[in-house]
Amino acid sequence: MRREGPAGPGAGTVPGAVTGVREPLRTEFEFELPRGFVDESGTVHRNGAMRLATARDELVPLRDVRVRENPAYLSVVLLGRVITRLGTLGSVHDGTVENMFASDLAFLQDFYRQINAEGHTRAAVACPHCSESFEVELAGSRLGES
Amino acid sequence: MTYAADRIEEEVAYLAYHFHWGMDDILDLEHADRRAYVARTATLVEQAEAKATGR
Repeated sequence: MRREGPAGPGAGTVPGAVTGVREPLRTEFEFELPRGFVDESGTVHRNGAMRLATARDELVPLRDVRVRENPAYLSVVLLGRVITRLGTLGSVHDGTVENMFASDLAFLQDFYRQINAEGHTRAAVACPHCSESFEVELAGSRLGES
Repeated sequence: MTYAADRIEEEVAYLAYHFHWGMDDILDLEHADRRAYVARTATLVEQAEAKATGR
């Protein structure tokens, strides 16, 4: 998890930031897509980052005409706002999210719920065979971490 | 997957009413931060009410 902003611990300079411009505090979580987004050239993008949502992120999609016509589109617009980067793509927007595999979209919806409701990327699960409870890491495994 | 819009409006109005913050500032707080400020404000309001009623 990363927290960026002038008042936050570990705050760094953001590329392209202009001195004196107020920057909001932002917390980002990195993730790894189960399948990956395939761009027009066939390149697969799997590693990305999502920032925590704000009230604005929840309210703006409600005014989107596509969401008004099809409420299921809300998560596409919302995810397009909070995903800050994905692989080597120049930008991520609702058009990117729209073209993702269903399994990746489901993963991102769960990931969004987990970081915004629980504040972390671990989920409590139970073994279907022995019913023992344990935690799983949703963000994807990293080298050196188990 | 979303935070209920009516609950957001309630929290934004609560913070604006007590702190006179601008709407843009409140809308751009992350959910956890906004909830934390709402909780702190509620504590301040309760303390002020207790003081006013002499309890």
